[in-house]
Amino acid sequence: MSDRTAVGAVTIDRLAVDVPTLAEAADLIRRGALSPVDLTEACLGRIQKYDGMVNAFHNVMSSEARSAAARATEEIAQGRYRGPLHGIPIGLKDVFYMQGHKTTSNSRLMLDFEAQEDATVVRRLKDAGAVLIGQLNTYEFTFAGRPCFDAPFPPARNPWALHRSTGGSSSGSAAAIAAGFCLGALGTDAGGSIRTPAALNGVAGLKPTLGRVSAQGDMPLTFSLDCVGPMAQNSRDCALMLQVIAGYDEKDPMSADEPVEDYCSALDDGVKGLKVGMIRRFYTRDFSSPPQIVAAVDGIGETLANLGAEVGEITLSPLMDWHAVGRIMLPAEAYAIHEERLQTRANDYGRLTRNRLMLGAMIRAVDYIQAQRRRAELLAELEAALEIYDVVVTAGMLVPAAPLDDKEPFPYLDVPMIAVPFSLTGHPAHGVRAGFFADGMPIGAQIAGRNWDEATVLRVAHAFEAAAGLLDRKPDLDSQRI
Amino acid sequence: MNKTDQEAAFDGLYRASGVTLSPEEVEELRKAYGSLVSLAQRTRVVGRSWEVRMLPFFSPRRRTRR
Repeated sequence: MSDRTAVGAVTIDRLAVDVPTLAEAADLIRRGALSPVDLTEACLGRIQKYDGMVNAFHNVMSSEARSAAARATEEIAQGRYRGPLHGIPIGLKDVFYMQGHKTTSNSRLMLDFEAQEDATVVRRLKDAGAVLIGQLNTYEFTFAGRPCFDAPFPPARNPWALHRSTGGSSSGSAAAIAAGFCLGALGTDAGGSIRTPAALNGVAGLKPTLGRVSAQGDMPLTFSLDCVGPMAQNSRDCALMLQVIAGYDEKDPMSADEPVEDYCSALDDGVKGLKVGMIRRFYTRDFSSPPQIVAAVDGIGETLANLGAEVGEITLSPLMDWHAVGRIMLPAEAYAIHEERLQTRANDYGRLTRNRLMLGAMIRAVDYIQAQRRRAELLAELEAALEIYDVVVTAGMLVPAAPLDDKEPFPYLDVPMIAVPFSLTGHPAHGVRAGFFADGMPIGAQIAGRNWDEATVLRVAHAFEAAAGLLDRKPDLDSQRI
Repeated sequence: MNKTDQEAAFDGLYRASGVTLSPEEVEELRKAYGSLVSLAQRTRVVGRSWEVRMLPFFSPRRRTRR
C-alpha cells in the first residue's frame, strides 16, 4: 500500500490490488482506519478471483471468516482490541485439527476425519481474534515430497509462475501468502516443509525451535522432528504470529516449558556487533547451486556486514551427511505412523506418498540408531559454531522451482535437502527472500540461530529485509493463464 | 553389504512389511533401496565411541501434582 501509514479509511478496492502486510493491517485496524470486515472481504475477493488458478485452498471458510471478521470489528469498536492478530485473515495448512471441519492432509484416507477439538495453535489464533479464512493445500500427509495429481486436491501452483512447483509440504500456505489470499498462515516443518515453500514462493517462514510451538492437533509426519510455525510476507509478520502461537502446552509431550520472549520489541535494533556465520559449503561445494542462488545468499552476508555485523564463514560436515540422517529418520518415523494403514489400505494412498513411506519399511533398527548417533555428532558441530556466531546463514533452496509435473522417481534420496540440518538439530531457522532469478522467480535463504533465540533470528532477518529492499515485488497473477 | 545380500535384505524387508505393491512399484522401491543403503552407510563413523549416544536424550520431567 502506497500510503500505508496514513490515517484514513482503506477501501476494499484498494486492498484487493494492494495487499497490506500483517503488521500494516494490524496498525490500521488498531487505529480504526481499516475494518476487519473489509480486509476479509478483500482477501475473499482475491481468493474468488485467483484461487481457481493457484489451488492454495482445500476449503475456503467464507461464512465463518465473515462472522469472525464482523465479531472482531464489533469488539474493536467497543474498545476490546485483543492485539495485532485481531481481525487479521489467517490460513491454516490442512493438517490442523479444527472442530466442525474435516482435516484431510490431502489424503483419501482422511476425507471423513473430523477432530473433536481444535489444535492448540488453532485455539490460540482464535483467542487472539484472528479470522481463520480457510484450510490450505499440502502434499499428502505432508510427505509426498513434490506436487502430485493423484491426491484428492490438485497441487497448489506457484503464484510467480503457475506451471512451477510451490515446493512443500506447506505448499498452500506459501502460495496463499504470495498470492495475497491471507496475511499470515500456519505451516508445519519436519525436514523443510515451511522453509522450502517459503523460498520457492518468495515469502517468509519460520521453523521455530523444536518444542517452541505446540504440535498438538497437527497430523504428524514424524514423532521427533515436527514443528509448527508461521508464514507471512515478511519477518515482522512472522514475529507477530509467533508471539501468539508460542508457549508451553502440556498436551504436547515435545512442548518445552521455556519462557516466551518478546519477538517484536527488538526487531528494529539492527545487527551491529552481531556475529554471522555463512555456511557456504552447503550451496557451493556440497552442491553446485546456480550462480544466482550463490550470489543471492552471499549477498545476505554482504548486506549484514554493511549494517555492522561481523561476518565469517563456518565449515560443517558435508550436507550429504545431514541429508543421510534425515532420509533415514523421516521415512522410518513416518512409516511407523502409517504402517497399519499401508497394510490394509495401501491403494488409498497416492502413489508417490505410498512409495516414499515404504522406504521406512526398509530401514533396520540399527540404521535408525546409527543415524540418531550421527545426528548427535552433527548437533555438536552446529552448537559449537553457535557458541561463536549469533546466527548462521545458508541457502533456502539449491535449485530453481521444478516444473509442476516433474515425474523423476525418488529424486529426493540422491539430492541433498538444504533445510534438513536445522530440523535435525532443532534450532530455529527462518526463510527469507534473498533475491530473484533472471526469469523473475524468487530465491530464498535460511537464517538460523540458537535454541529459543527466535528473537535474534527474526531481528537479523528483519534487518536484512529492510536493507535489501527485495519485498516490494509481487507475483502478477493477472498476466498468467493455466 | 554386497549386491546379493542387498537384494535378499530388500526382499525380506518388503515381505515382512505386509504391504502389497504392484510389481512395478516394487522395482522402483528396489532401486531406491540401493540409495537408502548408501545413505545408511554414510551415518556410520569408523571407530565411533559408545560415548556417542543416540538422540534424543531423555530425562523424566517432574510433574506438578494438580
